[in-house]
Amino acid sequence: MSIPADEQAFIELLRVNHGTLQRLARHYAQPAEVRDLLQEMHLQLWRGFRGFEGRSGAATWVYRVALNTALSHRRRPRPQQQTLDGLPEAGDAGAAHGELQVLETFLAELDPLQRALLLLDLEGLDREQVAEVLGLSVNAVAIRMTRLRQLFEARFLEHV
Amino acid sequence: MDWHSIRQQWQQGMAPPAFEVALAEVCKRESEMHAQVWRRDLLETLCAALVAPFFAFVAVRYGLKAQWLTAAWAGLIAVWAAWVPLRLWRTRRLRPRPDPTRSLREYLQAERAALLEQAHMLEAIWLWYLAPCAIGVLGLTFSTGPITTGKCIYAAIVIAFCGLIGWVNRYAARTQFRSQADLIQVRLTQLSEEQDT
Repeated sequence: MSIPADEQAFIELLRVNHGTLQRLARHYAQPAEVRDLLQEMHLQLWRGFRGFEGRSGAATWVYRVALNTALSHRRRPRPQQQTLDGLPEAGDAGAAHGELQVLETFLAELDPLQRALLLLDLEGLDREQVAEVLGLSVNAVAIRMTRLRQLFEARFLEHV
Repeated sequence: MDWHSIRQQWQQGMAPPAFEVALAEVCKRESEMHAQVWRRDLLETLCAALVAPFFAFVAVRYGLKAQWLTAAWAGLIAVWAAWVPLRLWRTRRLRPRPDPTRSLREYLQAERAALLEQAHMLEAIWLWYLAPCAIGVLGLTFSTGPITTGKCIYAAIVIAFCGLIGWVNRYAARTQFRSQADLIQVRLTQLSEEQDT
């Protein structure tokens, strides 16, 4: 039996954005709850998919639904050491490993909205897309991103 | 520090596990949620189906004996038992659900409004849930025969029990729904662009 076209399109949407969804889920849920949050994201995406008319880009729409779902999901504050799970082994990428380690710790210390802003930027969304997801102006996104990067840079220099 | 490089490392460095087709799980999860709602609605309907006819029968019996006051109290309980699940059902169906496809600001505003509405419903429980039932029960008790010590003790227990339920619901409204709404308001304030000036 063939899969209906809309289901195929939805599965493809999940496949393309799977990495992003999982990274987002990992930063808004305890490790034991990540799978549950991912399933909740998939459910909300499926419910909204039938009404998705493509007014915004698919990536922006996915991030918006996933982020809103993550922020509503029940979560507890995560101990800092838990943010180091899943990092690549240090080796030739030793410097990269250090930056990512500091970044993970930095992300865990941010409040949910600041974390969302930084995560969206790290996932490659441009300022306009981030502004659309969060409901902010592009200028506000630029100001807040600049502040966050400055904070991160100061944190990284302390660590080094 | 090269932020572009950090971004690339971020996207490439944390390879998630292999993707499993999740649509069947999604549909299963949705079915489970619908089943949960259906079971709750069924339980409320069954309770009403047991309580309402019983007290309707009591009302008719006393009405046939021309004991109109007693029949009225029993009728009040019957109407209350039938009305409560309808009210709950209607409130749930009409309550606007926050739409996660909207922007974060709009979503948070909708969530906060939904939480405050639920808090208000719990705080007003004495009005639409407890008082009609308590008045009907006490009226039925004291309208059938003389006032006795036992009836007074029973009345005190009913009033105390209703007070306790009212307190528990107000406590839940304050500690769960209003506190969550306050937290969301903090997030909305953070999103306010006045913070950037």
